[in-house]
Amino acid sequence: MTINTATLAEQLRRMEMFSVLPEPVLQELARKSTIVHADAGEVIFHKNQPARSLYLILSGSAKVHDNDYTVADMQEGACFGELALLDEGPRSMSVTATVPTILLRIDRSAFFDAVGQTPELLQKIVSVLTRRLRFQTEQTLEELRRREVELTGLVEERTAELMRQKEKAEQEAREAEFQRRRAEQSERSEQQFLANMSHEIRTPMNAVIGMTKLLLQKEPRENQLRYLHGIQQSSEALLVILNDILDISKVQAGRMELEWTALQLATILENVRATLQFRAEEKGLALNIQYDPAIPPSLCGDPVRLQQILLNLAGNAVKFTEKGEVNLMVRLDEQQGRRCQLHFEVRDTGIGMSPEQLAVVFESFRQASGETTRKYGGTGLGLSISKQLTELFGGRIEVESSPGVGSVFHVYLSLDIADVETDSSATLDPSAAEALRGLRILVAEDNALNRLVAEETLEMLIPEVRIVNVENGQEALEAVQRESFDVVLMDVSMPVMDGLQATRAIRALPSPICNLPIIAFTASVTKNEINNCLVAGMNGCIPKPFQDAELIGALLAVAPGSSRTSSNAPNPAVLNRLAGGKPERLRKYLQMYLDAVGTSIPKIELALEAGERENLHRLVHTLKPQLKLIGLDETAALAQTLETQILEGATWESLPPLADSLLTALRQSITDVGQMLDP
Amino acid sequence: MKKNIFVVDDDPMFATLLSDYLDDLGIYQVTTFGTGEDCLAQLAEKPDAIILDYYLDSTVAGAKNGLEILQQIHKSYPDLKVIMLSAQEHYGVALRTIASGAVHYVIKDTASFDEIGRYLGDL
Repeated sequence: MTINTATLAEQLRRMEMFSVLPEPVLQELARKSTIVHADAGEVIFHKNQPARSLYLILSGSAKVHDNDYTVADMQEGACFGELALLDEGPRSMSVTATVPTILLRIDRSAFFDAVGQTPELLQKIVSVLTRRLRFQTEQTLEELRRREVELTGLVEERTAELMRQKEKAEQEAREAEFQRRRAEQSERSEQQFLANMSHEIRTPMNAVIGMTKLLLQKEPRENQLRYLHGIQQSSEALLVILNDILDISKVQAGRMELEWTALQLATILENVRATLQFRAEEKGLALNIQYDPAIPPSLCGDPVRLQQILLNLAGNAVKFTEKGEVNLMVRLDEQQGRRCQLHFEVRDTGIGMSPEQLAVVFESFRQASGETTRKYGGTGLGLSISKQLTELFGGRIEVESSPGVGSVFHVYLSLDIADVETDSSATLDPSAAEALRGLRILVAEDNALNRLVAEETLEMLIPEVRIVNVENGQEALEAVQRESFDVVLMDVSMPVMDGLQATRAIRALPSPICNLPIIAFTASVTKNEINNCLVAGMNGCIPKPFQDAELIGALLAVAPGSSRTSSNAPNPAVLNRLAGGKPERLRKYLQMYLDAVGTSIPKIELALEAGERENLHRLVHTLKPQLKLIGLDETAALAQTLETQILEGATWESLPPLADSLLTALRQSITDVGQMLDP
Repeated sequence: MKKNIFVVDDDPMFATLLSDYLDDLGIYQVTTFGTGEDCLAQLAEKPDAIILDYYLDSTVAGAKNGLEILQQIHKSYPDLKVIMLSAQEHYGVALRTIASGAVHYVIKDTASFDEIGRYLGDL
């Protein structure tokens, strides 16, 4: 190829944009242009570089590309970068030589030197360029459309792949859900089994313990008294074993909860002594129980469970010690304000344990050896339960021991001083029973012995009480329509018609019979069972075997003229009454409660976060009736307090703690009500 | 013929409970509305009484409150009996609603159903 001004001018004339130029101008432009050589793969200009020149391919080829894809391949005679002559913006595309290539480069300055003095020439070039640009844009768009189609195909392919993966995941989720349901099912049957066992064993136990107690009050002869005490102790021991098994199952299922009420350490220690004294004396052991007099008399905790821990440890000590002594000491390690650090120490001079035995001593279903069970009896669960209970108390348990020397168990607990001096629910206030004078009670219970225990206990406790006995739910339903009662004590499992069915039937009767208080009288005391009772429309629940105080307390709570105890557990009694005994209606109301509170919680959280005082007020305000209707009087009162604070202009900072307590109570109520709907 | 009662409350739980309760009495035909505006649109049916909640904007933002709705009801139908409902034991609110022509002011709680039943019986 010959390159001189004449051939270059000829090349330029073939370009559409320069075809409008007169010969002298073309010649001048050719003279002022530069020849550029580019190797294969060499970048002629980069994207984003300032554009100052137009290029014409004299030989070879080049591609125009954005970094990802090629827009065009250009051969001899093609030109690119025309706009650079008119506008000095950055370039939007890169150009790379695909083979060794020779190009003609015309710079802006050369172009304006040759053409710039003649505006009409410039105008002609601009109009050519505009046409060309439009055409290029269309080409680019076309290319983009083609890419889009390609990409769409790619996307469709990927989507199909994702769908396959999703289907697989769903299949796996269904499988997992199926397994979960099965696990739940088996957990439910386990719960059911526990409830049944509890029922099957507690019912006869109730009769044994209750009737022994009644006989003891009938001035037995001296030798009869001994036998009766024997029966009493054996049945109580049996109850301990049963409770051990039920407790460990509860702990393992994470369903064990402590009750935080006032406890008197002296009373608990006295109970431990009374329980173990006889056994210790039989074996000739000294049982020493001492406590630091500086320990406040009333502390806050679960008295039943603390007693259980101490009885387990001290009971073991007595069991495994043949001679010497068993010491139970309680020290006040430290007191900070209301918080007391207590150290319980149970020391024996018994058979002790080897390091191997110590390592597993707190595990479930393990006694130091298989021999131990045969020789000493027991379930082997006591220490495991004690450890778990101690941890529920937020404390820790430790043990040291040498074989043949003895063992020492340490329990460290932090307990607060209690506000109230005595726990009134545990003791029976005689004036309380007086308030029940003349009460008319219908007792529905299929077991004749239990009926007798209930009747005699009620007659003993309540002056001028009037009792009518029936044997099943059907008879109860007839009795309440025949004569009037103040309260019904209703066994849950009965032949012909059970307590739940009878309750629903009574709630469907016309007013005022449908409002009759009904207390469940049940051997199964699982949370599910209690919920079932409440959902069926019962007002309360007392476990068998019952404590006198529990029975009186439950009667007082529902007896006419007495103020009903408010509680922080949902009580659907009001909703039940409004539902007229129709379970599907009650379910609808409970569901509405869940919907309402479920949507309110996140809104309250948002309002708190955003500091929206008026919004928070409105949300809390609307909740109040729902809380009252579901029987959450305390939570309703909390909402009222919060509302008042907002209205009376309390500082914003003082509101979140109150609102948080409210939110906690609301969340708990969702769980509780949810369980009523789907136990 | 059954008496026609309108219940206006944005709280579906309370509205449903009240509606079920009145239905059970057997002598009322109950229609419920979630906002006062919905109720105003149906006023031509001339209900025998309206039970109207004070706060009505918990679900529909900017919905008019019960007091405004009460005043609008009485503009068109001065003799229409309106029982006002509120979760608020607030003397000022009660006074304003009575002053605007409500016949009763009922606090929303567990006893309100019987109370409303009694008032409707007296009307």
